[in-house]
Amino acid sequence: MSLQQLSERLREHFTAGIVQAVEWRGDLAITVTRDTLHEVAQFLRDDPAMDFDYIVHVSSVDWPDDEERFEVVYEFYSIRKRHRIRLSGRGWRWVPIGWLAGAGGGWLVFL
Amino acid sequence: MGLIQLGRHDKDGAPDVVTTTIEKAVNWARKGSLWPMTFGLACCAIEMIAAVSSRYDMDRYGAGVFRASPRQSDLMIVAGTVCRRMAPVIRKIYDQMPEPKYVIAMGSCATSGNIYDSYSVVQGVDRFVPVDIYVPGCPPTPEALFDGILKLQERIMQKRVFVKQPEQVKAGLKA
Repeated sequence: MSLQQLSERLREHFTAGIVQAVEWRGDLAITVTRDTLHEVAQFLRDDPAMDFDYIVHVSSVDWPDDEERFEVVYEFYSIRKRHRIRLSGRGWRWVPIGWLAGAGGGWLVFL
Repeated sequence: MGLIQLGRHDKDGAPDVVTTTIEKAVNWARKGSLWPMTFGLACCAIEMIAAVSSRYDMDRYGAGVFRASPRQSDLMIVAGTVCRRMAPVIRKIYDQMPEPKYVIAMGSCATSGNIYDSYSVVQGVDRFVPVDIYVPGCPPTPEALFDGILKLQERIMQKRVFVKQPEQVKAGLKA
């Protein structure tokens, strides 16, 4: 599935939750609202067309001048389908590093 | 495997006879003497070395004898970032290993290329050799590598040696 198709499929399912979807130099970066991040991540894992089964990395960006300071960034990869996506969201006062890996239930945990 | 006790042993009462299928015995022998090959490419290799050394002691699982030659090994642990120029070397070494052979992709780089989505880095070692187990982490802890090895041993026990692999088992192995 190409990045364009990935982006379109996500937009079909989550119309309100997706703040922006940027494709730049072969990378697809999706920014979502705080409340939908968990749903989107679950969709990415469970949907057969998406099939993201590997968390490449979990990190965070500090924007000191902004109101919502910390941005958490997940990057997912599908071992079978070989596509990747970056998912980020803001609105936490701390960085939920282990949260998604733990809540994923069967997702490979990034140590 | 099952134990049958035919009368008491003279001294300690331990059972005398072990019954099993020859297939299980072969698989058990295979899983208990994995000979890994030293294939450290980057920082994951340091964790692999730590896993072999005395603190973690990978020898407990029968996989502690690292060989420098592919002819003597049956498990390739690809530990680290695979560059494009290294890829044909890995394939050649994999071809030189005797059957049955297994591959563990250790770490995020060997699994997916990690963040190095560039012209020089192979996006996952599974593009040119079949991978049995993926171990996540950057780098994975020695415990994570052990988990991978134990999973591989479970998988070896499921394999059929003398008869054709049933289709449902094949499907299960792939999933």
